[in-house]
Formats: sequence, structure tokens, C-alpha cells
Amino acid sequence: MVPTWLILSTTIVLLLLWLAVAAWVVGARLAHDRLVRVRRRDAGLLADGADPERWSRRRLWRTADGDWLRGSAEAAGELVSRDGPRLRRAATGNAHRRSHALRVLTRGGSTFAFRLLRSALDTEHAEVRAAIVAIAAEQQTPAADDLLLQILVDGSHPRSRTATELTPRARRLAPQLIDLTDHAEPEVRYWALMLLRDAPGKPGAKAAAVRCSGDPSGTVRSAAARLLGATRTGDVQHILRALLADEIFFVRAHAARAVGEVGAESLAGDVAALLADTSWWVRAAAKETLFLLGDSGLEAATETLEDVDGFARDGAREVVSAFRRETRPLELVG
Amino acid sequence: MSIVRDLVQWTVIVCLGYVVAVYGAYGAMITYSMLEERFRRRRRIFESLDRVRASTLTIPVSIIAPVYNEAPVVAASTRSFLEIDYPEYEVIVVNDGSTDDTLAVLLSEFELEPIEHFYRRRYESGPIRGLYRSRTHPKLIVIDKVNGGKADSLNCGLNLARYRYICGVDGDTILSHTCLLNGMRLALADPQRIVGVTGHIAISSRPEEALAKNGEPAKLDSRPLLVFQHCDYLRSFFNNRLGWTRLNTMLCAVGAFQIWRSDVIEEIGGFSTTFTCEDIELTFRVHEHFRRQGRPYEIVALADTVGVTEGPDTVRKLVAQRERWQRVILETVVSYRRMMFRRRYGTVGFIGVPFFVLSEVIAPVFELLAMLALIASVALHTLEPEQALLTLVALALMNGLMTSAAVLLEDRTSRVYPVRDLVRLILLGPLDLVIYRPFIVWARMKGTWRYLRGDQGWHKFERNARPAT
Repeated sequence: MVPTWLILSTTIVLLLLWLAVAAWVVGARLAHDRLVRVRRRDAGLLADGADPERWSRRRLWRTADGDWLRGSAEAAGELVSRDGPRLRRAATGNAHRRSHALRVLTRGGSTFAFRLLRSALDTEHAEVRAAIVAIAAEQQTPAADDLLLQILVDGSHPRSRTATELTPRARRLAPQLIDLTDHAEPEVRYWALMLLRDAPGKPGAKAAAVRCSGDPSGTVRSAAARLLGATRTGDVQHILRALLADEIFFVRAHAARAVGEVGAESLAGDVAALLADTSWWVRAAAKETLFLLGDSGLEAATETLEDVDGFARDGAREVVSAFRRETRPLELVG
Repeated sequence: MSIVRDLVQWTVIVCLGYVVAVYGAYGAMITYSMLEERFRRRRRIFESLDRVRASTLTIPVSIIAPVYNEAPVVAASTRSFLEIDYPEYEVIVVNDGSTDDTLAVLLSEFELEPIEHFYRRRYESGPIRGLYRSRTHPKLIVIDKVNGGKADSLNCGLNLARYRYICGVDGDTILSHTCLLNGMRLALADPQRIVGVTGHIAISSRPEEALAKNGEPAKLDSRPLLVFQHCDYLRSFFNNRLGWTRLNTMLCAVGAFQIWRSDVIEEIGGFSTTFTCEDIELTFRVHEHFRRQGRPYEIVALADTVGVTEGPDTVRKLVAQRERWQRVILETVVSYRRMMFRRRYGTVGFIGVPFFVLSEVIAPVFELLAMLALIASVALHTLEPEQALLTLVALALMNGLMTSAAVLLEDRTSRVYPVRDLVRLILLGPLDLVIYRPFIVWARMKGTWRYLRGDQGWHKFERNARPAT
């Protein structure tokens, strides 16, 4: 039916393919393990003062590229001084080589590095843009700060990821972030406020939050509420009171949490009223906050125990029981 | 006699056609998987988990772990959930009316105390008998409820989950320390679009012993049956799911590790209790929902091993597990058959579901037919014995090739197993066809038969034996 030679030759081809893939697996793994070992050793040598000038390009490249190690900058610097023009050409080439060349140029302190990183942002390859953000995030320089802020504003990389990279430098960048809270795009204003939560004490941060508490965008108002909470100052209570009555549920929820964070005991009654909110998120935030407010929270919750609303009664009883003064089972009407 | 010979010949030809079609589909999917793996690897070279870990912007996650009669492993698995390296998360363990000591173990191991907690009932679920919080681990909440099945327990956990993302896990799964960082790193890349994330789970007879000190999977099980299952998981994950991700046609976010945006789960009404198993049905439902509405979304697979789960250590238990899987696949595919070849369902309707039908639904029929036809061909002298043997060797090598491709994809991402384990996996690949596959064929046939009879039982396999402590 099927000639034997055909089955035999198919079998031989499959055998060879199987052996080839097996060799690939084992070979690639051994090569990887060796590379990790050798990189670590070489980076250590450079960090301890070895002279990179006598090293081959290949050896320098493998030390300069890859995860950041002590000694990577020395290797990259030597490569930049030896091969600058070639690296710059590679930094405008195809996607994969481009990212690596950009990293070496940046680590090596090339004067062209940030200009090349900026121009590479136009690429259609998402992985190159991700690489640019990561490369800039390694550098604690004003040029890196500016580039990351630019990427946050133009949205060429998911803003949540860019903001993650910006978090550790939020304190340093507070003035620029405060400026961004006036940006035309709500998403930029949102992320600027979110980042300012790591620098709430900086001059102008609280004022920006107060200003944005009246923003037309609900997400921006919620971020403003969170920033107000992070300021932990009591003089924002009137703003928080307004946000507790916001039309959007997540603004009310964040405002309720902010009340707890700033310890605004005078707002305990307003928060207790949220135990009857239509949104579970708001009710949950209100319960947490009442507990955080201590005696005033307990008092407000106790007053709500006889509320006409079932949600409010159960929420209040849960708060009271959390203070270990109420052990009756709940109605669980939710 | 000539009619029988003709029939056998035609059966062989049809089976050969099936083999070519199915391996062709696998080959295409491996190509897509390799492209996806390369894309991920290149992107990952420049990413740092440290910054995700340190950021106050990282989105919190609620882990929900239904447990039912998991006393031997529940303490270890819960501990692994609590040791996850992630900025903010909570662990909700749902004891689904266990009849063994599961709750007692949890009570003593984590110093649980009863609490009163007012929660919303967004999803219907069985009655709750008690709620507990740990004195020693503030992240941990334990729900004790009346038995209602895994989907019911997940729904119950959802009612108490506080965060925007939920991660459904199995109670017998030991999660690696970095599973959430890796999973949420993908979700964070585009939180508006990525609605679900799943990851590869390794197999061990005792998962609680399979992690290294750094919290990552470190060694293969020593028993061949477990290693064959490990190969099976590797193939189904790295050869298929990565490719499905590339085509945005992920068909099953595995129940042992499934991250979902909770608003999406709410939108589609939670986990379904009318199906035998919840994970594959939920994934199909998410596709159906978003594609029908023409909204952009993605369900993605991580190219990382996120944990180790307990695999059956005897053939009987393996057959019980796999026959259930076959029933679940049949239930889901039949229920969502309207998605096949419909334009509105895009790649899911034109590639995903047909691929599933080809490789899973009709596979047992053709596998059995092929075996019988091969034997009959030799008996009727339409095929020489050496030809039949060579055909078997060729098929075994094809299987070996698939396994090696999966091992390659896995190792390029994680580099967790020592070289000797990689060699072991590769060498066992071709033997899979003759040692392991017959049991799977039998289980699938049994599953198909039980599906046709309307069986919807879980038939949970017994826990593997452990030395007394």
C-alpha cells in the first residue's frame, strides 16, 4: 500500500530531526550556562579594576550587554570608545540588534545615546519601545528622567509600565509631575497624580491634588483623592467631603480610604453614611476607614446599627464586631 | 475477504490523512509558539521584575483556592500562596465541604479565628458555614462552605475577593514565588486589553517537595509516569498555548493558575456550575462574549512555569483524571459549537475551535481506529510487519520531536531544570507513544462514552500516598 522505502526514509528524516532538536536543546542550555558564568566572572574582573582595553570586542560585548552587573558600564564604555560609529549604525538597524546596541551605547555613556533612544521611539516594534523604557530606567540621569516623562506623556509605551519605571524617581521629578497634572489628556493627569503619591510632601503636590479634585474625569478625581490621602494632612477635609459625595463610585471609594489615611475623624459620619452606598467597593472602603478612625469610627458605626438600610446595618455591625464588641451573626443581605 | 481488506486499507488511508492533518496543525502551532516565545524572550531581556515588585502602582490580586479533601497538601500549598513575592495580594482558601481533615489542618496550621464579614453576593454559591482569618498571616481568609463543586467555590471566593484581578488556583498546587510578578507583568503591559493570563504548571507526585529554596520549580519527579505527564503538560502548554496566544485564540486558561480581571468575570456572570469543570468553559465564554460584542481583548499564556501540581501516580488515577478532561472538552466544544467557522469569532472560530476538535475531540476515535487498522493490516498482509513497525517508529519519533520542541521552548524561558533532566525528557519523548499514549487513548474513549451517557461527576482521584510524619 505504502512503499517501504517511503516509510523508511520518513523515519530516518524524523530521527535526524529529533536528534538535531535534542542537540539544540542541550547545546543551547550548556552555552547559556557558560555565558552566565563567564559574564559574571568578567564583570567582576572589570569592577575590580581590570583593564578592558586589552579585551576582545566579543568579550566586552557579552559583559556590557545583558543584566546589569558591576563592571557592565566599564565594558560598555570601552566598546563605545572603540566602536562608537558601528554601534550607532547598529542602533538604527533591525529591531533586535537595535535594542542591544542602544543599551550598550547608553551604558557606555555615549553622547549620542539619548538622541538615538528618542529617535528609536518612532519604531513600530513594541519590543524596542519596551527596551527603550528599560534602558532609560537603568540610568539615574536628567536625560533619562526626561525621556521617561516624554514616553509617559506621548503614550508610546503602556503608561502603566512607564509609570512603574518612574516610581522610584517620583520625588526627584515632582515639579515636572505637578506640571503634568494640568496636561490636556486625562490619562496623563491621572498617572502624574498617581506618581505624586510617592512624593506627597513636595511643594505643590497637595495643591495639584486639590485642583484635580474638581477634574471632569472621574479617574483623575479618584487619583486626586488617593493623593490627598497620601498627604496625611487634615486640612483637606472639605475636599474629601465633596469627593465622598461624588457621582462615580470609585471616586467615593478612594475618598473614603483617603479619609482613613488622613485620620479625618470629623468625617466619620459622612463615611458611615457610605455604608448604605449602592456600590460594594464604597461600602468596603467605608468599613475599612471606620475601623481606621478608631473611637470616632466606632461611634459613627454604632449610630448606624439601627439604620433603615440593611447594608448599612450589617456594615456597621461588622465594624463594631471588628472592634471586638459585637459577636452576633450577620444578616448577610448583600 | 476483499471487502474487509478494502475496508482496512481505506481505514489506514483515512487515519494516515488524520495523522498528516493533526501533525501539520501541531507543526503550525509550534511555529507560532516559537515566534511568540522569541518575542517574549526579546522583550524580557530588557524587563526587570525588581521594579514591578517595588512599585506602588502594581495592581493587587486576590488568589482564590478551592480545596476539597486536600488535607495532605493543603498546608504546604497555602504556605506557598502566602510566600508569593508580590507587593499586595490576599489569599482566599475555600474549603468546599471537605470530608477529611482539610479544615482542621488549616485551623491549626494558620491559627485561624472565626470572623464576621459582610460580603456582597454577586454570584450564587452554596451556603457558607464559617469565615476565618489567620492570626499569623493577615493576608489569609478561609471560607468553610457546604460542598458545591469547584466552580461554586470559586464563585464563593469571588464574593469575598477585594481586588481588581483574581487568580484562581488549585488547592493541590504549589505556586512559585514569582508567579504573580510574572503573570501581572503581562497583564500590566496592557491592563485594558489583557483580560486573562494563564501559566504552565509542572507535575510531581509530591509538589510540596518540588520547589527549590528560591521558590522556583527545580527537579523532575523520579517516576516515569509522572515524567510522561510532565512531557504531556509541556507539549500542551509550550507547543499549543503560546501559539494560541500569538493568534489570540487561547482556548483554556488552566484551572491551576488562571488570572482574570474581576470586572470581566462579573460581566459574564462568574464561573459556570453547569459544566463538569470550570476553566475551559470560562475561557470559551470570555471569547464568545468579547468577540460577539466586537471588543478588543486578549487572553495570554505566560512562557513561565508558575507552579507544581500533584499528578496521579498510578494508571488508574491517571485514567480517571483524563477521562474527566475528555468529558469537559466535549461538553464545552459541543456547547460552543456555534463559534466554529463564524466570521464574528475570528481566529477562535476558524483556527482555535477547529484545532481543538481535530486534536482533542475526534482524536480518540482516530487513535483507536489507527491502532486497530495497523493490527488488521498486518494480519491481512496489506502491510508487512516491518512496515508496521517502521510506521510505529516514525510516529514515536514524531512524538519525540514534539516533546523536544516543547522542552526547547520551556528551557529557553525558564532554565530551571538541570541538563540531565532535559536529556531525560527528550529521551522519554518517543517512548510516550507506546508506554503512555495507550492509557490516554483508553481514558479518552472512556470519557467520550461517559459524556454520551451524560455523566457529569468529577471522580476526583485519591491523593498520592505520602510517608507518615
